[in-house]
Amino acid sequence: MSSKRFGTIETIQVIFQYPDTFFDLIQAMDERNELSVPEHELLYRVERAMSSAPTKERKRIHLAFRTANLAGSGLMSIDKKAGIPHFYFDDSLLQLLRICDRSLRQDLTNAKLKARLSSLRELKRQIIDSNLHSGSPDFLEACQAMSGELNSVIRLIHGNVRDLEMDVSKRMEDISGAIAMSNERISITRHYELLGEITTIHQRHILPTLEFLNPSMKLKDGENLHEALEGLGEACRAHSHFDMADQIDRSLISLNETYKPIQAIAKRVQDFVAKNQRSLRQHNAMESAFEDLRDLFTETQTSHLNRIQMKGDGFVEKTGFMAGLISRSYPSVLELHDNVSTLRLFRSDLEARLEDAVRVDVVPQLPTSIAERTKNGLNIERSEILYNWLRDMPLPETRDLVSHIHERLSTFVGGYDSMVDLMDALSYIMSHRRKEVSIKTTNRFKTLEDGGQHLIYRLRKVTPIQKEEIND
Amino acid sequence: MIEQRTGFDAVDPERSAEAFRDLSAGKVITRERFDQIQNDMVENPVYTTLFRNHEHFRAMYQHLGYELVFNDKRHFFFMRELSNSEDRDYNRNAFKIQVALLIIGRYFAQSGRDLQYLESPAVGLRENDIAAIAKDDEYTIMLRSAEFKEGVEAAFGFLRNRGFLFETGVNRYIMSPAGMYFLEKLVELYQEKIAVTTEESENYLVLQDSDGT
Repeated sequence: MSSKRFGTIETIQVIFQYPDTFFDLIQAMDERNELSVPEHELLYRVERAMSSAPTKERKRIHLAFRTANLAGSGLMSIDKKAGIPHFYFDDSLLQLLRICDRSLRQDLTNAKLKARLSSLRELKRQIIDSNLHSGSPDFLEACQAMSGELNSVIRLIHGNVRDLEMDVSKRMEDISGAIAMSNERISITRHYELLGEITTIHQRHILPTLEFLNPSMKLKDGENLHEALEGLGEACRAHSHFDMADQIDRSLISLNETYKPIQAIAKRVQDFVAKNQRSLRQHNAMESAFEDLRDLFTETQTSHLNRIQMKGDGFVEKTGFMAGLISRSYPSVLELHDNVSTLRLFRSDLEARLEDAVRVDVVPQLPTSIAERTKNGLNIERSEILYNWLRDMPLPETRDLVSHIHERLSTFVGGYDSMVDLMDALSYIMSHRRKEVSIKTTNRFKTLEDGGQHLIYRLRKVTPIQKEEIND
Repeated sequence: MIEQRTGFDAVDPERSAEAFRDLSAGKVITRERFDQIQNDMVENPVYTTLFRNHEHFRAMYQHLGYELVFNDKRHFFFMRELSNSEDRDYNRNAFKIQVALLIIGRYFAQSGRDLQYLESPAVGLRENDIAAIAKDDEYTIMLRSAEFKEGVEAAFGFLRNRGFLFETGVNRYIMSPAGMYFLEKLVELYQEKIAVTTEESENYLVLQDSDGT
């Protein structure tokens, strides 16, 4: 079995039956810009071809792609690079394979185009050097070569434009398809890979061809294609070689016609890449913002045991979008709610005010002058008046004791000064607790403004104690 | 003496009332809105009124304690509360809107589509998109944490009622210019961030160079 070998034709048949193996290899070589492949790359691809082939075929593939078989059929030679066997395939085999797959055609890379241009320039030099003398064998030979070269350039460029058109369309379709297929999440690396393939085609094939054909392109090393051909045409015409001059003109027209379609392809590729790059940028921007939101969410979950809602001020400020957007159509300060507790508070507050109004005859008048108040005697006198009033003042349920007392005192008590008397009144209430209510001091702060003065205080809540609780 | 004409003379009171009703309900007023019967974008008369009498409305709302904000990039108006940023609820609505819009934008970008299709009536958001967002646990829990108790459905309703989404059919929406502005702003900020990072790393390289020499 191991001594069995295929002939060259049979081996080539197998290679063409499973062309993907070699297409892949050629692509890998092109990408690395090398003329050989390491042994393992071939083995890996042969394994892959075998795994998808029917069992009966596997033996054939194995035999055909064996190193000894390939080398024996004269299709490749082996050399060692850094101790690893590298395979050099026969150039004509590779050329043949390249013709079969458009994307592997190399004809019009930058280097090839430059070589074409310099051979055209060289032929032009030869023709001019021969003084365009019809009898000179040099001139005739150079003219013949020039005709051949022109035809081959035109054929190549036309073929390449056609290939590129199809190839580029197919690749764009592949990318769009891959994006559309992955309904949920297309891997970003894959997206970049696909885009990379298309930009490679653009850089290596489309741009060089465009530059080659561009009549106004300035080249460092000499004339561009147009300048060279136009100059030659003029020279021919001047020496009455009209056939040659006409052929050159026709070639120029033909090449000009190719310039537009390839420009269109270039534009399509540029648009496509730009659009995809925009999509990727949008994708990354959304991810970045979402990551911020996720951080905020995690922070809410981990550091605040009893808070479920995220606190979004910092998040909102990042863009400032809609910051401060109005959220209600009624004034918030009233805090009117259609529920029992609000109504009860409202009622008890009202009752307390009515009570104050009923006691209007005993309303105290506090000394007004600040100078008078500074004397100790007067201070005590002032406090006594205030305490007398407070002693019989009913204390209803309230969510904010300080502002409640402030409202009541400022309404009824003459000469009331918030900074002095409110503090005084509060310390009296706090130290003379009543049986029927409990006062709780919270950790929330509020600000009270009166006559240009600001008082920051802790919120105190007054709640009535149920009768049973008092008895307990 | 000739009495000076005030802005009030120039404005139709009904339109003005409509504008205030919409603005004070926290809506954005876009230049165009989607008309389901004509199946196309149509001019928004409230916007036109606000735009033509911008100075009048700006001053009037300022006296009421609000700021009328105009966005000249995407052409929309909204109203914010003036100088009350210490209020706990000052950014509450803004946050809800930002979270909901971001989730839609992220979902859309992740599905590989260009964000501009969000505002195209031919594409937009369809029933399966809404279902896909609703199916994602992380989106749902985040929306709940941003006060959308009913999750995705509530968020879509909230955005629609406030003019950030236009309904184009049954369970079909497109994003309004105001919504698009937010997503564009995010992309813009991201680009700035990237530019700064690149600059920083370049500086770093230069520093390394000078250290080496």
